[in-house]
Amino acid sequence: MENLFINYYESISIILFGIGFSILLLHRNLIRKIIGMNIMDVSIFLYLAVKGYISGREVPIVEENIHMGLDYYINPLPGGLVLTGIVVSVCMTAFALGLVKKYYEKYQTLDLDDDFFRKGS
Amino acid sequence: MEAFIHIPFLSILITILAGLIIPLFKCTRIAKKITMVSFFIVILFSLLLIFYLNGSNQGYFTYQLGHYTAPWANELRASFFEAILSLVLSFIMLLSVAGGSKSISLDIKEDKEKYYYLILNLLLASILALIYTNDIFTAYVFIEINAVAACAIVVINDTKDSIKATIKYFVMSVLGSGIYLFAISTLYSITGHLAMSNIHNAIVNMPESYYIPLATSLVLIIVGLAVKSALFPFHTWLPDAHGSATSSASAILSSVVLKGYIILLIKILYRVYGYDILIELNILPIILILGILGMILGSVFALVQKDLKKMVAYSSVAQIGYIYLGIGLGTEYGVAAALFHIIVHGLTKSLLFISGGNLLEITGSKKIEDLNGVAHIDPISGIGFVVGGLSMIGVPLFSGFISKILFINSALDSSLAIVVIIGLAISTLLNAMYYIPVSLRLFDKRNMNKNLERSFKAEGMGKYSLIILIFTNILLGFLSKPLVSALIEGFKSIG
Repeated sequence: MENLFINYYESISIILFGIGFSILLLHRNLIRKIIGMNIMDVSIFLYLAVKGYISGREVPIVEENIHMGLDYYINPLPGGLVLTGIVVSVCMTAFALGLVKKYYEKYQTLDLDDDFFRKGS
Repeated sequence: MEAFIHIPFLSILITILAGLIIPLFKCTRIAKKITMVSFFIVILFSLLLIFYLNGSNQGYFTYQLGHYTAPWANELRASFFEAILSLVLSFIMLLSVAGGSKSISLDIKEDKEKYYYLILNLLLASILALIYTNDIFTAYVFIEINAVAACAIVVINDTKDSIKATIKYFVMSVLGSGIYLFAISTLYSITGHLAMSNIHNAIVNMPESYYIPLATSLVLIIVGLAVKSALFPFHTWLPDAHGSATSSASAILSSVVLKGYIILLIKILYRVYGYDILIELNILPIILILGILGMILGSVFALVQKDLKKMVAYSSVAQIGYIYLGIGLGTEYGVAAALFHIIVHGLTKSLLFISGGNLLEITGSKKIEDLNGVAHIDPISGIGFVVGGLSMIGVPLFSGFISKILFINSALDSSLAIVVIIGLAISTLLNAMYYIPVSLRLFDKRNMNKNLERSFKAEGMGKYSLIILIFTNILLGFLSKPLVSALIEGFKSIG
């Protein structure tokens, strides 16, 4: 239990992941589903960003061959992963919005009328 | 001979490029030709790769992308395992496109048809990348590409059903990839690597205090990929999505797209974690039990369907259960049986979907009860469906029989042998209960439906691809021995 408070960034990101996950899975409204998807993705980005951060260190940008040594910078790789993840997440959101538009044209509603998803709302 | 190591990268690149140049042409026919040629090149390349690996004495090779070496670089890795699977999956893609081309032009609006071919190219590229990649984050990116492409070939039908099915499919896909991304973030934070071989080295030397996050990441990866490959409790999206797409799209979704995720899962289980860790964390029996449940319940659901395509789609749930059963056994022979079943199911299910789709075009409805006697109008499709059904049941002479024998042989050493054998027996019986009545109905001349929609018939390319599929299905039964030994050898070099 103590660990949850010490690593509070990770705890928050996991709680956010749960919130996004359940909105995406259980909500009937499609726009809210997309918002849930974004919350879920952002929570993972937070998790990754926290994993790359080392307190007291600087941004990993090397200027004009002035390299301050490995102990001076934070881990740059999770940042790269987050950037890739953001691109993927934007693409998925765009595709999802396109699908929702099509759904609205055919059904004249934004609620997914389905046995499986109805239970949750 | 050195040029051969570029093959994995080139086959991914060619399919992406083919997808990119398709929008430049106005004509659908050219788009189709480009697609066929790019698929054919991939098949050829995979054959060359097998030939090269056979000649060289090392089991596998890695191909470095970019200027940095192992732990920082992104690399591809190829062995018999990857080469055979990319050969089979691209072969199935080619035959599905050729076989379903007539119903593609009936189902999809003409101005959208060329985009269908574009998406197919991207789909094959992402599948090849999932097969060859040696990096879990690259795998994540291609999983997402695969998800978008797979949803797009369902929604392109533009009917009410297909849009609803796509949204369901999309939601489950995004959930699956979200869980997978979370899992690899955890894995990265405890091991510090993204390349599969390096993660494995880190895991082997890991102190026991890290086993809880390790187990969490393993379970999350299995759940994420199981959602995407429709393992039993997560299969809810599959029948709608596969049932409402055009028949070549259903064939590709069932035989190729699901398999890409399973291949990635096999690679992650045995290359990243390794057999010892899997035994220590005791995860394999769970996969095995879920596989057996899927085998039985998928068939039970298939039994009550009135819609032919949905019936075949639920049968896919059952067959995916077989594959997970093989993975869950955990032995070399068991995984080789699972890989063999990936090939068998791919060839059989594409045959079933394409011939079934052709037969449904004749009646114009999707119901099984309207299908009386249609095989007399289109005999090749009728025979194709019967052969596919018999192979799925596991009748001797057909390839499905061999994979069942392999499963039973590999289960005999396991402690759960009796459960596996009973599960296989029940599942075989259930398979027979829904494939045989439909097959009989197809040839039933007396109650033949008089007011048929159109006299649709498999002709030209469609006919030849069905014939090729039927023959490979039978041939696979005879060629199983060298193929299985090659798969076992490929699996040995996976770790």
